[in-house]
Amino acid sequence: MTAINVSTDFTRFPSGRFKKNGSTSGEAFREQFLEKPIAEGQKVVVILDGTVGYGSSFLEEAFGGLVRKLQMSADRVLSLLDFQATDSSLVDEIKQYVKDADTKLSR
Amino acid sequence: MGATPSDHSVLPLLLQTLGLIVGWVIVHLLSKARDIDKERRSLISDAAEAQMENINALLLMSRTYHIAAIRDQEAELKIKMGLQDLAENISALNRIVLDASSVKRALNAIKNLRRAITGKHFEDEHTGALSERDPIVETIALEALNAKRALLILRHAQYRQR
Repeated sequence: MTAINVSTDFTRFPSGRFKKNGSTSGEAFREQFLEKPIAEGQKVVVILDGTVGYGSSFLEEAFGGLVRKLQMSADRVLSLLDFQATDSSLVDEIKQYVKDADTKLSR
Repeated sequence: MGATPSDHSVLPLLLQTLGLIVGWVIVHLLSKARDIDKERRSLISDAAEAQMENINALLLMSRTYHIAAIRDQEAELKIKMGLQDLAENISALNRIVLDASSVKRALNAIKNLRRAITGKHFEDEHTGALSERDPIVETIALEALNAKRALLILRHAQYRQR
């Protein structure tokens, strides 16, 4: 199992969707920390506390993007992800993005 | 050994005194519980009110951000911090509310507000000014209204007859 603390391992200022617009984007985070362990079927715990806040586009690209990039089902992705967050609405939002990405993919 | 005449006169007095003390303790405990409950409700009410003000400020800030022609990175940070503060302050109420479902509903409304403000045309996707009638701007206003409504329900839920 891998634990990733966004604020200490990545940045305290997560921002934006695509890495072409910045190294602190959702796409950059996904590529750097999530894709490899998830593709290999490893459990990942993501610690969301400690940053200055998240934009939804960052969250969507980082987590919803896993379904698109790895062509995995939402159930499979979510079974490998665990979260630690004071704000439970962030976790709900992420799960929603993963499910929405799966729905769009299977259309 | 039988009771003396003086025992007969002391016993009712003792019982009466004991009854008074027990009565006083019960009244005191009930009054204390009532005071604590009143304080709790007042705390929740004040917190809900403060968060409604924060939603108004966020609505104004995010509207200005989205209709501006140039991307404002300082505003982006303030908006994200504001949304995070909002969600964490509401989450903290879970420790003192009796009805956790009203907090959950309010948090869900904050989640929808965050999606409306930061889901599209935010940060690297800010490509120029949106019109005031753009669906993104209108959705933000709608979700802000829903979030304030959820907080109002949370506040009123504290005064429901139990």
